[in-house]
Amino acid sequence: MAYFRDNIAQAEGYVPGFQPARADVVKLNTNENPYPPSPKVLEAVVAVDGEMLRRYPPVLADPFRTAAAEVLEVPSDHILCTNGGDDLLTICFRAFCDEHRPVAYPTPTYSLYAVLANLQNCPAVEVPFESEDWLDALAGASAALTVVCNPNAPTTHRVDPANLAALAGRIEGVLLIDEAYVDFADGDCLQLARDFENVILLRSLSKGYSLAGLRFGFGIAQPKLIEGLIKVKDSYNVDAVAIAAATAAIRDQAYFRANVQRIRAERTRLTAALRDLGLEVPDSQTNFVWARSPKAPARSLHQNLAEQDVYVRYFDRPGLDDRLRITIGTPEQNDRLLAVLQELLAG
Amino acid sequence: MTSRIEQWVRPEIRALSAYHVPDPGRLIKLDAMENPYTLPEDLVEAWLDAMRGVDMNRYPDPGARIIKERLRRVMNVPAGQEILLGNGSDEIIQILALAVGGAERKILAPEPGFVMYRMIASFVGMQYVGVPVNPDDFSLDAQAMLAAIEAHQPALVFLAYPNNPTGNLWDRQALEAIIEAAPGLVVVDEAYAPFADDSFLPDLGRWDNLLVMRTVSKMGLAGLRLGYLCGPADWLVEFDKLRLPYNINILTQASAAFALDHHEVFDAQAGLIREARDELDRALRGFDGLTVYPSAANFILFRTPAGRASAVFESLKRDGVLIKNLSAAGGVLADCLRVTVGTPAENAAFLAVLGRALARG
Repeated sequence: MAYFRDNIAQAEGYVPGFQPARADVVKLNTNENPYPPSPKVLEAVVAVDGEMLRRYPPVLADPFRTAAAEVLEVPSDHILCTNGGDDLLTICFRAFCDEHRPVAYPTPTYSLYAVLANLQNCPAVEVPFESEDWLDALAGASAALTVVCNPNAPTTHRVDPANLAALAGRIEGVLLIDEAYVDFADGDCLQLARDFENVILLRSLSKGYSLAGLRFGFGIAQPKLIEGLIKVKDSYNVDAVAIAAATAAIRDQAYFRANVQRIRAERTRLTAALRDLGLEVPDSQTNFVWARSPKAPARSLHQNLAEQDVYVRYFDRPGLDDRLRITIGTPEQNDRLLAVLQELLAG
Repeated sequence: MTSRIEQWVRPEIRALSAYHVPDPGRLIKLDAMENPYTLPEDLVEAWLDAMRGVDMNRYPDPGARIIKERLRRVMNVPAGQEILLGNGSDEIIQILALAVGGAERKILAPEPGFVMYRMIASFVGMQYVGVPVNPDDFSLDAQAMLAAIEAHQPALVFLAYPNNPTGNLWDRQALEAIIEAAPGLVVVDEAYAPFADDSFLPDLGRWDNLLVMRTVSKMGLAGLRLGYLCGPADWLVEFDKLRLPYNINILTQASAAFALDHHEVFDAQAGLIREARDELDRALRGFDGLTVYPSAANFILFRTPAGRASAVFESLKRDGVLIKNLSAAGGVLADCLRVTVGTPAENAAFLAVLGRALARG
């Protein structure tokens, strides 16, 4: 017997960004927040007692649902907690897609969508963002699941919620709006989850809440969709410590806003400084920039930066291989990046 | 809305009911096979110190190398065998099923067994074949298993060892024959290994289709989600493609590493639970009309007089003790209840109200 399904045997899996073993490098390659989470998070973690570790966690992470419902002003039954946003994506692909139920998404975008489509063995309709009629093409794709990353990775741009509302109304299937980076954007699509029965929002605590290590994401949708997704998720998909930490994080909105504001201020500065160095950098709605240098190939810039312990992300794929994805760091980290870049581009 | 759900949610998902977990409230909770012991105070302090040192804003190590290295050492994983980590065993079962799945492909397991095998087969669109155990003592019907393997050619065979919900270890020779006969993978699910006297972990490498799955939940850390699968590297490389890259969060990684560094504490707790189990087994056998099944796990299955299980279960619950009622499903588990082994005090409280429950008409 050929044990593995063909699509698995041929798959390469998702390749995460490089995690250097040393802590003293400038790490701007995986879109992490350079600042620690709210001090209340650690307080919540150290308040976890042995009893909480010994028991299975609440299956729907109710303490977090309650807190998020208050903060976002949606009922708590509109919220599904997941082991990172990736877990929600997997649940959605399993619940909605199969050989006869395609997924559709605009490209370039988060590369995990294509990986999950392959693993689920469902057709994937890819529509370039660059084409004039990409929204019409998505609407006409007859997909069971349409995914729009907004703001989008890696291009950093944001689609007007009105356009996505129109899309939600036109399609028969489900529209999943991946808002992993929404914390740094000028607006969100929350109202769409209230208005449309076929819209699911993906949110993450990895970015604005500085909890990439925690693996905590959640979906927002109307209860009938949430109830269907609950059937597909693992029985206890988020653990007790993560629930305590995530709940404390979302309750501290003052820290969150200040944290995001620091990154946005640095984003403005870094964007301007990179442009001064001659790089093409579109305005970003995320916590990273998507930069192209007319002077040097992205591949060699990426390597030369790494040699000086500055790590940024390079995608060796057609359409993406002329750019670098640079996470916004602390002012000191960004200064170091700029200094090394200046040297490399001068030389 | 309803029509759109019917149109888009796959029919086999709609037909499922979600895995139901009751609200424990204030009951003595002996229903979910959790470890009744918490960590000693000084260890809690040391654990908290470990948590304080974690950079939560950074993504976790996708390879979770620190935990794998410790698991290899503490659990004596044989040389040359690889380890795959899951966010709980459920995730590992899903990964396995997705890796070999397909509409024509089958998962086979003894019945009654862990319900997740059947549920996950349904999620991924595979067929599920349950092979009934011997109804009198829940032992493996080896002939029936081998015949079913021959007839169905399953891609995956799950053998819970000890079995849940019956608690017994299967006959080792029968398992070895099954591993040899199976055309695909055989996964020995050792979720309850800390309480059992036998394991297939040392046997890894004897067959190229044997995998062993375990969890740290039963080690006393149910609140953490960490399952692991051990087996040949050629297999695990393929499964790893299906694993989400950051599936084990950074606090779980740090906590599991800490727990493995102090595994002697958990080993001692498992020892206490085994003693309490044997004591509970003896006490249960003292009640007239109960059939008690031998257990190598941290729970005991027992059978009440015909037609009485639900009344006994409800009576226990009214008296503040929650156990698991398996009678509703009927079949070979008709009249059966399952109690998790608690602390000696919890077990005594259970036994005290059990007498009353059985006495109530």
